[in-house]
Amino acid sequence: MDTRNLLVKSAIAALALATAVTSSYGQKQWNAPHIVTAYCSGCHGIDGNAQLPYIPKLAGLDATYTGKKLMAFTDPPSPPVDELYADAMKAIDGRKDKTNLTRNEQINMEGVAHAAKRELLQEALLWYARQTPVSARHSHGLAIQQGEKLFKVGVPAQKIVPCMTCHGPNAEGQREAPRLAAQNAEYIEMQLAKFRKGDRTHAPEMTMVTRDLDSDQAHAVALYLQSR
Amino acid sequence: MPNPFRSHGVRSKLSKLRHSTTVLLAVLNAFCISPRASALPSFARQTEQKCSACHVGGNWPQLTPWGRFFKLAGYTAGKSPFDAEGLNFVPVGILGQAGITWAAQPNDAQGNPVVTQNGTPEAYGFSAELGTKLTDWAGVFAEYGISNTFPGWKGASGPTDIRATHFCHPGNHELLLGLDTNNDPSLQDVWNTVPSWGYPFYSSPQAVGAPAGPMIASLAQQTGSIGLYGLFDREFYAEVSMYRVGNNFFRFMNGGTSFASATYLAGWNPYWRAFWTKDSGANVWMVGTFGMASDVYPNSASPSGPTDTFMDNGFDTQYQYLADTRKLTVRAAYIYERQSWDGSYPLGNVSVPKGNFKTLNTSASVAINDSWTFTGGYFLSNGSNDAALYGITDQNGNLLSQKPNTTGYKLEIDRTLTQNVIAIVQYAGFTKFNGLTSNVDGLGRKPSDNNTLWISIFFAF
Repeated sequence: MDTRNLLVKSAIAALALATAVTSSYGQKQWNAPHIVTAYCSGCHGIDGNAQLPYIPKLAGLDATYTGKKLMAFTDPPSPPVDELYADAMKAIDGRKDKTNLTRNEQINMEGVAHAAKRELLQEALLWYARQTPVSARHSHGLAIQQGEKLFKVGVPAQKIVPCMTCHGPNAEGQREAPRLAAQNAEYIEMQLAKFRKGDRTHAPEMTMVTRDLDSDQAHAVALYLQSR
Repeated sequence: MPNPFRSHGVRSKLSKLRHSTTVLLAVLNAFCISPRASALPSFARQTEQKCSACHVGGNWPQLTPWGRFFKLAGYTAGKSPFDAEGLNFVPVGILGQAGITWAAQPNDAQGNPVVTQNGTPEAYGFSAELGTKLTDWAGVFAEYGISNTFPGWKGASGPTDIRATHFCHPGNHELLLGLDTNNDPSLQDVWNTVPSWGYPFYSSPQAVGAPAGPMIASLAQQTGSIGLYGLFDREFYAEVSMYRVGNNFFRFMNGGTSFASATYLAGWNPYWRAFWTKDSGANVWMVGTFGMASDVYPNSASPSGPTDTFMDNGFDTQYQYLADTRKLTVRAAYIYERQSWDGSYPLGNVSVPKGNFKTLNTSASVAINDSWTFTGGYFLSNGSNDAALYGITDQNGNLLSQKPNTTGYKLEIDRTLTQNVIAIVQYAGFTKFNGLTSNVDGLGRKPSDNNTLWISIFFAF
């Protein structure tokens, strides 16, 4: 390698390092769209209307509720990026992997919740709370009718109470119960399955009311909510 | 060759082609099917996400929508490697691959090996990677590999991509602007259809490759670029990059490359890319076009005088269905290359002054539960007659073929053992080779004699 190449290389390396160090130390003004763009919008969209059906729409969701959900992702220790090493350590000290998170939450959310600062994520949640949810177009007329009935009347024979009792007549959410209108159907179904299994522990009342819900009913109510 | 794990092409054929550097490289770079180590564990450390957040089924390098956005946004999501509190994560990682290859017929009719190391377990190489955000608006992806050259080991630069980005919000829209430099045309792209990232993602370095490839797929680690791109509302993308030979200033990302035997670009050569992508529920579509106009010196040992001109026009599409547990990806790319041998023809390296070359590459993968990925691929290449480049003669000197036309397929099962270790079983088959469906080397070899079974293990920490 000749001297000039060495000089150029060193200059680039020094520049990169200097930029990295100074920018990390510098005080940066983060605004909500910037935070959302950096951490959330890749999956949830800038306006909170996530396209992927298993990812929740955050548009219009109350920030207190989403904040609580986010806490659940930071509760477990930092995710094992180096899985093999983590597995080996687990085998050595006999620890058990105890998590209530779905695989998808472990893949995506656990990491982001740890990688980003809490106050930045709080800004992002407030941003999403201000966005307008967009309901999905649909072609499941019959299932949606069944879902609507379940949502509004429940199934007295199975002792399933109407969802609107807590979530509001238009599924807009009230008090502790989150907004469900326009939420992605696949996400709702996955959450209902989690409640039934008792894997979402912070809302024990949901485990009670979904205990006797079968998967067809869950599917119908999810499609109804997505269409609202 | 600087690229690790490069496929070797057909040795008997290589000896005939040695007079033309350009073509020799095209042969070595056949289809650009050489695997490029790609998943960067340091990015997982930076975002604290698992590999499968960015790679479908945790199987590198196929990207998810989030993975594509992470790349276009300049690798900037997540933590900085250093801040006031000290080191946040180690921005480097190690990748390595080993495997074993069995050929249907490892030797030709005279007993000369076509596939060396047949049935022998081999370590193919190791690379160190640097993958990290540098600032909130810039990031780097770089590898340096030490690869097995059978026999011996050689160190060289791997894929390198450095970018800076800026978000603007005209009206209610979003425009992402990016500045990029890299060492391989299409390395900067986010779709697994382009030459740098298309299927097969990995192949045995021992396996026989197609006898020719387009110029755009033959420039890895021999170039350097400056490019500008824009992504509008995450749907429309346009890019122009200018490539030149990777020596002098760009030497830092082409370490280990011998430019006297590399593909030597003359001046600055434009590469372009445009695509449109649309999500609808679990469906993601993309249609796009890419291409490059390149001027190449026929003799890279003395880069002067008239050049050969290659005009590559590519069209590609990708469809993904992304459900929670099952994910489907379908890819297709077609490249049409017009060749003007203004440098090589007067030297007698080619037998016609103008030619063309076409490739079609299609494949589909199903990923299940981030643990299994099943893939099938079909490849086809066609070109105009050129006895000097592609001539195959029988033992009496009769010309059997003067076309590069080759058709083949791959069947592959990948098992993600943990997210750091992937086991690969791949069967590569040919139905046509050198424009022939029988006697492809003039000694009675069948296309299917070049078929290989490959078992490999790939790790990334």
